[in-house]
Amino acid sequence: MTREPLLSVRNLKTYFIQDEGLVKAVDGVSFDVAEGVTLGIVGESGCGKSVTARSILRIVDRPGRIVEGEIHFRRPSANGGPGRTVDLATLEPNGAEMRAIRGAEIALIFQEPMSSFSPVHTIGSQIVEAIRLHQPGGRREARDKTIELLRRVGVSSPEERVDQLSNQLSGGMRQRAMIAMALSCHPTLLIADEPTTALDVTTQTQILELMRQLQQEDGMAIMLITHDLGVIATMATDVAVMYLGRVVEQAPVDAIFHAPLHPYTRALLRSIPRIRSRARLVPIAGAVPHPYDRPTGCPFHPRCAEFKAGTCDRQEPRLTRIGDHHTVSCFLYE
Amino acid sequence: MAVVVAVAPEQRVFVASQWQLMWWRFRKHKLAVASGVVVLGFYLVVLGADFLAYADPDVSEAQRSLMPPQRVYWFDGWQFGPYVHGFKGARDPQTFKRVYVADPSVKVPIRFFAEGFEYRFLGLIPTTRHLIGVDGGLDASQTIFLLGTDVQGRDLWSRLMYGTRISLTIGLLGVTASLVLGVVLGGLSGFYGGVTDTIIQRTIEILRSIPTIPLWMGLAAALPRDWSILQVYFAITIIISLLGWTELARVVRGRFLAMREEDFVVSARLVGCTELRTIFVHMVPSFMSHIIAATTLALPAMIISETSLSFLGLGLRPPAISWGVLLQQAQNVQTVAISPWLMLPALPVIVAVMAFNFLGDGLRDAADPYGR
Amino acid sequence: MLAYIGRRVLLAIFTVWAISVLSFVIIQLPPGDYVTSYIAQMASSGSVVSEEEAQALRLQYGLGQPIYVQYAKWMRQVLVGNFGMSMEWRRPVTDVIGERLWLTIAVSVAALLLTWVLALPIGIYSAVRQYSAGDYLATFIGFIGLAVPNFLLALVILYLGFILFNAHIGGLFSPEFQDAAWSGARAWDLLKHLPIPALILGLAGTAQQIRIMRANLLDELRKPYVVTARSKGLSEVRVILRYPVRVALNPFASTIGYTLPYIVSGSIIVSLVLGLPTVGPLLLKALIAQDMFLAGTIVLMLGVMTVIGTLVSDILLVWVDPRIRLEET
Repeated sequence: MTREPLLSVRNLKTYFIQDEGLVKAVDGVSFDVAEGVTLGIVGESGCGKSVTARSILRIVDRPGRIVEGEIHFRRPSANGGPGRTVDLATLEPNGAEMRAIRGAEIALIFQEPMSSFSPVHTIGSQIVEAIRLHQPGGRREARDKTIELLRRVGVSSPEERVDQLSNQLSGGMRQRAMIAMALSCHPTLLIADEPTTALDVTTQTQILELMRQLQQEDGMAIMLITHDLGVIATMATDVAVMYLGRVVEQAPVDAIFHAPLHPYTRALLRSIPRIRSRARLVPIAGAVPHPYDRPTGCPFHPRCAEFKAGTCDRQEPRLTRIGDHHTVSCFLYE
Repeated sequence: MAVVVAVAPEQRVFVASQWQLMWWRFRKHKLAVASGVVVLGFYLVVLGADFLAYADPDVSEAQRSLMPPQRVYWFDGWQFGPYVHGFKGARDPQTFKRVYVADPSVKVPIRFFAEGFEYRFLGLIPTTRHLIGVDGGLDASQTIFLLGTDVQGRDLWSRLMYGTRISLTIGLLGVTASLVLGVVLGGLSGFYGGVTDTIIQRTIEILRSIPTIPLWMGLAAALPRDWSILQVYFAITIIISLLGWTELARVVRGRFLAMREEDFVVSARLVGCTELRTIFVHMVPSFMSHIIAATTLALPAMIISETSLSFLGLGLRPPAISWGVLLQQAQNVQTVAISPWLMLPALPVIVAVMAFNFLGDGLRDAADPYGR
Repeated sequence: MLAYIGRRVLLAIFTVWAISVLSFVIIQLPPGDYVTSYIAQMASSGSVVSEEEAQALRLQYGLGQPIYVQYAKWMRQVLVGNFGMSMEWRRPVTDVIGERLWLTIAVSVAALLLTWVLALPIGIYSAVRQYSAGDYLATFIGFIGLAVPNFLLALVILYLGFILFNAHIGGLFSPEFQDAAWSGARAWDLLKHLPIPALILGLAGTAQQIRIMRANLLDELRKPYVVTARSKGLSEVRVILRYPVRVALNPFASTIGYTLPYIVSGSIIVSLVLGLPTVGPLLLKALIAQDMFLAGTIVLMLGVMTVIGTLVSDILLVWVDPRIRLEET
């Protein structure tokens, strides 16, 4: 692939400056998302996955802000050419250009289907609003489009649902409506932040299946954030593993599952159950350190089985390219 | 290991008792702590009103009607020795108003722990000592008026001390009565639900949609004129609390509803506790803190009610002294324009209301130590 | 929705009934019955009530009969618009109250409107710019509003007006319009005099509503649907006004109904200080003179007026919150 990636995040740092101390939620994240593929981002709770997603959309809540780094995003051009690349990190968060990208070119769906729709507006009016914001056309047209979208994402009797409030829909239906809203303006990148965590297992499978089908039809790239390695295995083309605000390893999905390099990735894989395996599950030792109290050196060293005193706790490892598409950040490979 | 060390200070949180957690949270709220100190100060005045007063609040003297507050000189020469100048009263020959001129030749020294009128300290120990006073006690030819005098020539400072006693205890008693009503009715409403709940809730809604002051006025005006101060005092307390319990009942009911389904309440019932035991041994202690906070927040309304009624002349009546009674003298703007110190009793009302509000806010935030 | 409004109307009717009972209690409380006091009052001023007249009055109000019969008889009179005679004024109660009731309504409605107009934007500003200088200022003014009883505020403003401008702030009309007949000029004069009493009466409610709006909006601003709205690419102003403010309006609207009783309560005592020609001073005089029909009627009218105001504000809530509109049972 010679074409430059759709999204390229370089050394992104998003800090929360609070009275109690500085929380480095995202501390030097780098990864790429190619056009039309699915990048899975995996990591334990609190490792900065969601903040990374919000940083890309520039909707990090105060007191958090991007202190360093670049977010290169290639905007689509009208004639299907390569388009123009902008650094989102330098844009005004509420400026016209960022708002034109947000919702239209990069869309977001996230965890809480219960509360991600306004309780006092109908589902339809919220989707219509998104359509009319970014596309020409009247209210009538937008409404027809909304019903069509709802039908496409598998919402039953969309003509009625369009005028209902979100609390009249089930969790799965709400997440489908959310996907419909996200896709309403044909984004080139869809960020899905734990889209299935709050759903039951059957609904989970349906929603993932729906996302995959829509991706094939529309050809958008998906950035799928999850802590569920099972979801990664079924959905992702590439995987980035995050730990304490950093990407520790990025590789194609097969490489992650069959030839993981970073001790954290390996530990993570050992902690998930497999059918037909009689091996004991091995939990990762210790807990994620408190964000105010990050370990020096490699952030994983206090829990690492292959910890080398004098190196891992003193210096920070760099992201090193191992194979064509495999990068890892560990002294074992430097 | 670094991880363990990092967690160590947090371990404190896990072993701390509920009340300890609340204290830690409350302490962070500086304004609430300061307000707590102010409230404490107010209740010290309630206890020691007669000690802090230096003149009998009921002794009037036409010769010194509407005297302005005196300036206190703290140093006599180079030595600490507070004194005030003597005053000469005279009638302005043109306007016929009484005017007072300071007489620098007369120094009235302020003595500490001086003799004055007789009273019982804390209602028990008979004594004649007061915080400050003048030489010669009751027979002294010159006396002090720190905050001036009212129309009848009574010392405003001393009256303010007594007024504080009455106004704050009426608030406290009123809120206690409200609390009893609120906890019982709110508790019944929240614990039983159903028809009981509906009836009590509707009653609350009805009471809340009636303007209270006209009702109070009507009830207060009907009190027999020949009742003693004490009778009126209790009657007013009851009238105020009759309409003040609704908010407390609402808080209690909300807590009850939230708690009825909690595991520890269900398990208490399952092991066979009686309903009364479940309520008083298991439920009430766990929302005690919320009740204390709500009670503190209800006090200002009580104080304002009493002050308003007395101000209108329908609450406590002279010779009783309360903040509202004192403010009655400030009803006429012409009088106030000439003797602005008559408005001074407004100050403790405002300070007390603010202090109770801030304290209540702090307590309410602290009452839920696990929240947020 | 109809069920909701039906419930509200039913509750309002109940409240009016409760108020009528309380008003009746107030009329009954003083010792001695009305006719005896009336005769004594008339006698003291030299006129004589004939025995037939006294008997007719006794019959009309069911004196000597059980208390509930007396209540029923009184209610029947009230329902046909006969509120009895004022002893003080020796005129029908309705005559004495006259335009004062309308002026009370004018003052209260002005105060309520002011509460809405001030509390809404200030509350929104305070929440969106939490911990800004403006937020602290609003919080501070809010605490003053809560802590200073409105009659004291009236007193202070009156005093300041007297000292600084040597002007008597207060009243609802300039002297030349005091007793004039209604005209455009008189209405305009009233409008010019309304802001100060409205501000004094509305301040406590405004302060409370600012706090409620701020707290609600702060809660709502953290909710995920705000992120959703933002991620659509809406401008920040539109995100806030269209979503969290809209949701926070609901508890705001439902509590603002409760400020009306406060305002009406306050208007009595503030009217006294500011010398407003409302029913407040009349009520106080009536109570002190034990002119009970006048006092009872004023309490009843104030109560009914408050209930109607609250009902209107409840129905407004339906318009604000579609969840109620869609409610079925």
